[in-house]
Amino acid sequence: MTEPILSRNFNIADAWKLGVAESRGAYATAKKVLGSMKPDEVTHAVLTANLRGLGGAGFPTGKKWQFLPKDGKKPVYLVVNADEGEPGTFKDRYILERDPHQLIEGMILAAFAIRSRKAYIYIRGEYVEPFRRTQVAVDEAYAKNYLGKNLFGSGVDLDIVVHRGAGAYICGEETALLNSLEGQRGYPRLKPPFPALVGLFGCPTIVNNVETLACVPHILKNGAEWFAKLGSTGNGGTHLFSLSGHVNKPGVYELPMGTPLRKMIEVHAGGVRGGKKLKAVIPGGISAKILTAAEIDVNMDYDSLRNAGTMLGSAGVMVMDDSTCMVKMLFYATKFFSHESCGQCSPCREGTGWAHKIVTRIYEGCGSLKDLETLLVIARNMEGRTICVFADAAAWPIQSYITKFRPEFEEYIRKKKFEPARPAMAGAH
Amino acid sequence: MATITIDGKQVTVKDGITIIEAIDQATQTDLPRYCYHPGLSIAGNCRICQVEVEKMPRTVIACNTRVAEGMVIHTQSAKAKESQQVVLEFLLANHPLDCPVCDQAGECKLQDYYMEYGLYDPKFNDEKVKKKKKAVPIGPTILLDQERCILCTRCVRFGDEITKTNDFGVFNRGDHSELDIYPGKELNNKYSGNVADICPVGALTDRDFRFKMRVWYLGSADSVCTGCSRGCNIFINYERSRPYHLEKERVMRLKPRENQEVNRWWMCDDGRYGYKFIDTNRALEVRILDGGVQQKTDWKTALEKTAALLKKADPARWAVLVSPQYSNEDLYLAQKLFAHKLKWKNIAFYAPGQEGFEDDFLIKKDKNPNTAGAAQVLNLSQVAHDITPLVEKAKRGELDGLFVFGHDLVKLYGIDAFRQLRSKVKTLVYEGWSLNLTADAADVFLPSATHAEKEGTFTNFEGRVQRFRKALEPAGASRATWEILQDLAVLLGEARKYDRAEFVFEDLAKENEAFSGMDYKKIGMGGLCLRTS
Amino acid sequence: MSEAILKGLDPEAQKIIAKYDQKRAATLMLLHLAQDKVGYVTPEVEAWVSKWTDVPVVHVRGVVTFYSMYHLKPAGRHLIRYCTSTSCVLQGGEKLLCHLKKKLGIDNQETTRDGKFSLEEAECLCACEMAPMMQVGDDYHGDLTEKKIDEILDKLK
Repeated sequence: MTEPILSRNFNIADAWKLGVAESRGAYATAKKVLGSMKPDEVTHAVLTANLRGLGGAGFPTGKKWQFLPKDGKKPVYLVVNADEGEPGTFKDRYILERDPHQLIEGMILAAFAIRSRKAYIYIRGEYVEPFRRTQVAVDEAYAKNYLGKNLFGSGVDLDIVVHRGAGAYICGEETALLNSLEGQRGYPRLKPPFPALVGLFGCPTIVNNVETLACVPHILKNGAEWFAKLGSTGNGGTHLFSLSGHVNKPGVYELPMGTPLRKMIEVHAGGVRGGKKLKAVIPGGISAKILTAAEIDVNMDYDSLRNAGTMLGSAGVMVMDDSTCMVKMLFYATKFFSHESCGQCSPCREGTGWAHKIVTRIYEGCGSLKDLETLLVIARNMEGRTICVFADAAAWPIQSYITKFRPEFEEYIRKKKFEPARPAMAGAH
Repeated sequence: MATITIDGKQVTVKDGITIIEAIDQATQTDLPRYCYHPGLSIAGNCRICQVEVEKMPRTVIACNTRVAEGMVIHTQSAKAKESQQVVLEFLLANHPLDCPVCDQAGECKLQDYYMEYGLYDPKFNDEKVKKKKKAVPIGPTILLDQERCILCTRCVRFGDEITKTNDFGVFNRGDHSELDIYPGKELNNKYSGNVADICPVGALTDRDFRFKMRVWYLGSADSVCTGCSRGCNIFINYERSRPYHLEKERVMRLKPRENQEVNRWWMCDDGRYGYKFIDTNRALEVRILDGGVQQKTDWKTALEKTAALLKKADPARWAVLVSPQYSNEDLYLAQKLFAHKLKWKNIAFYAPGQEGFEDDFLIKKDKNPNTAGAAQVLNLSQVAHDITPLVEKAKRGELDGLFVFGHDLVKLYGIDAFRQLRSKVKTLVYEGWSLNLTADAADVFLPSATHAEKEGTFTNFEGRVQRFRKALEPAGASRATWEILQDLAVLLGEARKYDRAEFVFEDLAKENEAFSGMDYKKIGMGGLCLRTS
Repeated sequence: MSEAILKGLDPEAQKIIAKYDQKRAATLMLLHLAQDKVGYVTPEVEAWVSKWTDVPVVHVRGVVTFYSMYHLKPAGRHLIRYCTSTSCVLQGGEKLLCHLKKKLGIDNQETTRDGKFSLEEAECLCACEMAPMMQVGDDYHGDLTEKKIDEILDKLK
């Protein structure tokens, strides 16, 4: 692909400010669409563009919008999920920091399509500078009546509230996000009902990822077909891939959906650092099942990776060379999940803590081969029995690391290798 | 309506109810559940009520899945049982091995469901999570053990939805989540005892019952609380098999019994902890005043003396003070004896000025269990309910004799008023179950059985007639009031008709229109409302 | 003590509450506001938030203890959140954490005696392109080395 689309303003100085953004085309599409199209036409465009939810689930965005009730009995809310938290992922942060007006324009179009007049942007608490810039961007948009009442003279209203989270990964789950936005503990909700019917404050709500909404102006500007063709079958457009770990050039890469993973690592990210040998790649954030070096000839889109037994997820690609200890990686993965489990339901609350305890024991040299079986059983038992998919996400690293690197785990256990789980304590005081 | 199949059996239930409601309504299966409670909102967090539903890929929780026409549900299939078992193992992973010292043992849902759905080789081999509050009182009635807590949040929902006092919350996250109250506050609402009932494990336990007795030694009788005129349905749990274990107390605790019309699943703390009178300060002996001092005697002597007094009594110069603490059966025989047979005019039953706190939930200000019953059975004018005019009459010297059921006149009117009354009234006959100064001054003191020690019915404030069952034998020499009254009637020439309270009620139902058509069978354990004219 | 500060925040609280469709949705923002000014979440802060949002104070405490960014105890002037997730570990974050702890003389969840620094081992801060990284106060610092850590900390008052 030739021209950057989502990332076109990322390296332009001050593109987060309205003056620069507008000079580069921000809000032109919204102005045009609100004055000439109908809401359902916008939804149709997004649907035919094959835009998939880019937060991790990959659900067709247009289809989600169509789940809303048409009776207009209750107000519809648009909620932006900017609670980016999946380890290995940092692309939404770039949008918030470097091109928030792209998001706002996308929100205007989405709110128009779903007939919403009130939107909330939920930004993770640790993203302080992104929050500040987004708030400034929103204020600037209000000042020019790109937000508020009667946008662009179209008769359409939209209010945006920029809201901060406070440090909980689980709030990236859309129903937990809604509970958190409502001022509660970030507990995911029982589904059904789904947010499109009963969401924020009990009203129909659409929760969309930052990047998903950032795509919408481009779809409306250049056409749904154009967007669909950029990507692969059923997975339209380009996507911001986050590359990190043992690559020479970690960073955000905008590439077409369906780009081969090998190309992403070897060509775009400059290959494995220091010319070392590749050992493993996590293709879609910590929850995604790991791929061995022999498995990276796969296309990076939702459907292809699902067929390969893993997932695109948040497109956080973490590359590991052959100096990586998989036991250590599992230790840190299980630590993440046990810290971030909300604790609401029993299999996840107990299972994530239990799994981390076992892996810690193995990590520190006190494991047995039976522990590997126990871990696999815990992972299998957590799957499918919880309120949300956090438990499944917690299960997948356990299952994939142990299954695909079994000999390494067994050797670690047999040799009673030892790594201190708390590396700094020795002699700290 | 929807026709569904549960474990091979076709049943028809209301369309759209949850699977667990359908199972509870239409089958005998006790599907395992912790967080689900029919009186509280759905939480869906324990994850143990797993059932297999045909055409659904995974097992689902029964408490949040609604039935639909044609649904086929399996609660005991291999898939369902596997889900139930693995969830149980997760719940037990960090649960402390407290059974030997935990009051919940014997009525603990972790134990019960483990025996039914568990029985696996435990795999947990690491250190269990430790929490801050273990066995810490959080108020006058309840003790909290955070480690035993399985975070079902029933107590949180009870405080938020039922008492609306927002007592409990969950703090922290993940497996360090802790159930707690706000630091510096205490759990002291008027229904606090209920949280120990709904806690399925030993995390919230009753301080009053703590370490008193293992529950498998308890007998249980269906009864009615006598704390106020609501008549919450209860169980009286009493010590059953180890009499040598305890000195005097037989009743160990009261627990609410579900009755959707009266008290739903709940009872107030005053009622719950107000059972001590059954085993303490009891009148255990029949006594007669002899030589200025009350002497122990036997029933025959006392009854014969009383009958003689009643035979000579001038109907205009004797009064009987019955009481709304007594059963319909007691009051009916009292009416037959004093009003019909002896033709006394001075009859009353209600001690005024004793009303207490009332709320818009369960607690009524009338602290008697049978005011409505007394009013209906005795059929007096509203004005005549009050005992005070008769007490005044006695103080003025217009009465020769007073037959008092239960009322402690010293406590009600003061020692001076009582002394004046006693000096003017020649004969005082007292019948009651507690020792008090009024009874001490009686010429004849007849010890009475409490409601826990007899069969009978009370009529609550709404006119609901409710049965209470005999849990214990009368303490000491005490006897059921209706039996005492029958004996007196027989001594005065009546035929002996009743050897069961049930037969007394039958006659009451025949004679009193409000009770017509009722019998013990029809009343059942849910109660029946009086016919209002 | 914090009551005076909180009273001064009432106008701001009013403005925040007005943005939301329901009062209780302002809970997290009010806690951030109060914690920033008071330093940490005191019982007075919880009562103040409860008053503004009508959320019972036990549930305010539930919120405070659920989220990593709220603290019930005072933290140092500069709170260091050091990332301990996968990509930072891959880039040698563990050794640098040792260095950081030795330099400060404290462990995870502790504060230096002079009240200057607090340290928290955090989960992914989503800045993996600059791994290993940490957040000091509001700011992200990445591509850390021992020298860079020293420079960053020595500059702070």
